[in-house]
This record gives sequence, structure tokens and C-alpha cells, in this order.
Amino acid sequence: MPAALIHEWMSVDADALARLLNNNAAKVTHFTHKFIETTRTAVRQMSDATAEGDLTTVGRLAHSLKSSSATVGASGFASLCLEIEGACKRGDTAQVGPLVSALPPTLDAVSARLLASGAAE
Amino acid sequence: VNAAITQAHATGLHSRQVLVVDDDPFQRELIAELIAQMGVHDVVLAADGREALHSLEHSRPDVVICDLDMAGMDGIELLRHIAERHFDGSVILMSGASSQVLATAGDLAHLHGLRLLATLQKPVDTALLEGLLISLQPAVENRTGATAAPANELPVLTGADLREGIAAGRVDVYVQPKVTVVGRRVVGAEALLRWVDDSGAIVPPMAVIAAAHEHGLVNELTMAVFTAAVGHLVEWQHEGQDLRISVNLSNEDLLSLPLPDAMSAAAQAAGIDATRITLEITQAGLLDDLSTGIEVVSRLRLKGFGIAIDDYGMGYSTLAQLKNLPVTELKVDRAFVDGAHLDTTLSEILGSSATLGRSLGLAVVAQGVETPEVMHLLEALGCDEVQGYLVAHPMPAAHFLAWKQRWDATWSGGIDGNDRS
Repeated sequence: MPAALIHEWMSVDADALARLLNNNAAKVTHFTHKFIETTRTAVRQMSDATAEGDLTTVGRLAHSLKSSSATVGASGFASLCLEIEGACKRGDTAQVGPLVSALPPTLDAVSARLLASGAAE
Repeated sequence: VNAAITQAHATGLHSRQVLVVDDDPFQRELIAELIAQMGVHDVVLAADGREALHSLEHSRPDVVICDLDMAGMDGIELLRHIAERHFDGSVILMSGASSQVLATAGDLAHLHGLRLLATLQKPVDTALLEGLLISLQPAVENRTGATAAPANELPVLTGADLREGIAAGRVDVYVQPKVTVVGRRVVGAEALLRWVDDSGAIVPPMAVIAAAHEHGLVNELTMAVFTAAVGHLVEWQHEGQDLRISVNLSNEDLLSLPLPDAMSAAAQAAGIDATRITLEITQAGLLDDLSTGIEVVSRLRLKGFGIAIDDYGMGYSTLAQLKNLPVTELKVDRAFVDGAHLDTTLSEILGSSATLGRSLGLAVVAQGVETPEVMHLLEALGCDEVQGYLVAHPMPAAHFLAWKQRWDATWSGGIDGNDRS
């Protein structure tokens, strides 16, 4: 995976949630944690489903994560999910594997950025 | 928060019951929070279709907001079950899927006889969602004296209704005056879509716009509003009034390359200089297809139209983008104006908007000005123009000049009209 691409997936608009939630710091923190928790679970399910060759589940979860990550301002993570969703629709197993394995490290980086901005409030 | 509650009471939002169905725990909870922020007290959550149906056995929400793509029972199947239970509230569908999938699901909802309010792309535009929830309530329209359709009989416009209505000149506009902060001079008005159906009932603008989206008639609707607005400007010009008018463009209009020529020709045919017309766009709309959007906006500007950013402060507008757009006016959303004198965050946003506007040479317009206190704050912050209930409610275009005469008399007489509401 090219480094530039991975870098792009990690890009975050850290103020997106704060704007939605009228800058309520407690709520921003709550929903940041909720997002990370929900997304971690989904990423784990996607890894398992990829191992089982269940592209339908991978695609459905990628679709859902695409919306939630766009909502928190993780636009890079959202575009990674969009790529996975597309690859699943095309049945492109060769592409799905490496993309799904990029999810956990990308999520870690995105989470760190979201949490850092929350702590800075 | 107090302002939000007051507003929620004014719009009837506080008494709505909303059921949110989404299998993603984060999105479900966040949408519930955003709706609660709008002032809705009664938000019920369901994690899947089964929970939703269970909840519907015990309660009758005004609106079901339903995600399409759920594991197990998906949104479409849920719609069928809801229809079988003769649910008579409204439905809003949302999905991260393509607009085509949403449109198809919307058609299915209609076929099932459900009252579909809108199909929304995820992530959901909260301003649009709030507008839809408010549109369920006839209270706002009643102020203007006409009868609105009861909330439980929200008219559904078909493609044919729209097409015939546009052809028959059923599209008219109400106008809401804009005045300068300094001197309270009337500079013009914003044209707001108004659609009255065969029975004489007002169809909420959001419902008309949603139907236009669904039936691919957005450009036609915008041109009809534009033509109606320009027609009123012609009448005012005949009366010797030096005024301007603003017209809203939909996001889809920003993808229409023929639009600048069509608008320019229509203005010319009416004998109106394009510089008297401001087109209001949203940056959220521009983001759909940035290169086409910038081309359309730039060509409109080249033809002389003013360009206003309508959603300034809503999270899409960045300084970098504004610098690159041929914008003439910044409209600060009412969310940042209403109650700004009580909230330092809001007043800081307002102040920075005014500063930004000045540094870029843009007119800064505050929307939703309802109290003298906010007006005084805007004066202190250096905003240029205001629009809101403190000045006037939207009114039939035919009443505008008479209203202006009264307003001018009040202000030239030196009477402190700050207490008008």
C-alpha cells in the first residue's frame, strides 16, 4: 500500500463532531468514544468475514462505516470504506484482503487524532 | 440552549415523537442526539426492524426515520411491515447508498401508501432534517393567514403534479425583506418558494423541493422561482424602487452547466440587470462536484449575478474555499444568530464571520434576527445586513412595497423601531 495513500486515509477534520454537537465537549468525547468502540467491533467483524470469504458482510459493514466515519470528520477512513465497498460489489477478493488489513492501523491513527482534538478542547 | 427550546416551542418540534431505526449504534445514538438538540423531547430508538415494529405496537410516532441498509430486516422490508400496520405518520428514509437506490426505496414507500417525507443521503444534513421535522407543523404557515394542510395530510406531489404546476405558473414566491444594519435601509428581499395545490392548501417548500429532487425537476423548479422573483422585481422597478432580490439555488442546480445562460437570458428578457439578483448557494452543495460547481458559480458571477453563501458557519465553509470562489455575500445561518447575545460561542462565531467578510470584501448578512438585543449585537460586530422576524416575516410579494413604505416612514421619522416584532 503506498504511504501517500495510507496518509490520506488518516486525514481527519477534528472539529466535525464539535460543530454538530454545538461544541459540547462532554458530548463530543462521548460520541468520539462511541464511534471508536462501534468501529473497532465492525472492523473485527470485517476481518473475520474477509477470512471466511463473506464479501456481503464486509461490504455491508464498509457501507455503514463509510457514513459514520464521514459524520465524525474522518473523511480518509470514509474513502477507504468506500473502496472496500466497491471492491466487495465487484467481488474483487484480491483487492478486499489488503484494503481490509489496512483498516486496523488506519482506525488507530484516526482514533488518536480524534481523541487528541477532544482532549485539546 | 434556551433559544433552541424557545424555537422548538415556536415550531412545535418539542411535541413531536420521532422513532429512529438504525442498526449502527453510533449513528443511531448520534441522530437521536441531534434531534434532541433541535428541541424534540420524545425520541425513541430501535436497533433493527423487529424492535421498530415492537415499538410501533405501543406508540404512534409522528415520524419514523429509518436507515435502509440494515442487517437482518432491511429498511425496505420494514417499510412493508409498517405499511401493513396502517401506519399513518410520516417516514424519512436515509442511506449512505447512491441517490438512485434512495429514489427507488422512496418509490416503494409511495407504492405502499406510506407518507414519505424525504429520502436523505447519509451523513444526514441536520439543517435539512430540522426543516423537514418543522415542515410537519402548520404553525409557521398559519401566521401568513393562509390555510396549511394538516400535518397528518401532508400532500404528496407526483412528478406530473410538479410538471403541470410549473407549466401552469403555480410556482410563486413570498418575499422576506433585507435591511441594512446601519440606517435600517431596505435593500431588497429573499424570494421563498410558495406552492399552493388545487385544494388551496400550501404544500411546505421542503415537500416541493423533495419531490423535485425525486422526479428530476430541480432545475425546472429553480427557474420557475427565479422567473417569479424577477417578475416581482420588474414591478418594483416600475414603481421606481431601487431594490435587489435573492433566489436560492439547489445543490443540483450547481451541476447544471446550461443554468448560467438560462438565468442570464431570463433576466435580460425581463429587462433586469443581473447585478440586481443574488443567487444563494450552499457550500455543502458545491462539494458534490467541486469542479462543475465552481464552473457554474463562476459563470453566473461573470454574467453579473451576486453569489451568496447561504450556509456560512455550518461546517463546510473554509476561508481557503471562500477565497477561491467568486462570492459577493456571506449569509450567517440563523443557528449562529438566534440567541447570540446570550452565548459567547455564538457571538464569537458571528464576530469572526463579520471580520472575515470584511477582509474579503463581502457583504455579511445575518439571518434569523428576532430580537432588538441581537440587532444591537450585530451593530456592534459590524454586520452589514439583516433578515428575520424583527424586520418582517415572509410576505406576499404584492404586499412588499406597502410594507416598505411603512418601514421607511418609521425609520426616516427617527422613531426607534427596535421594538417591532
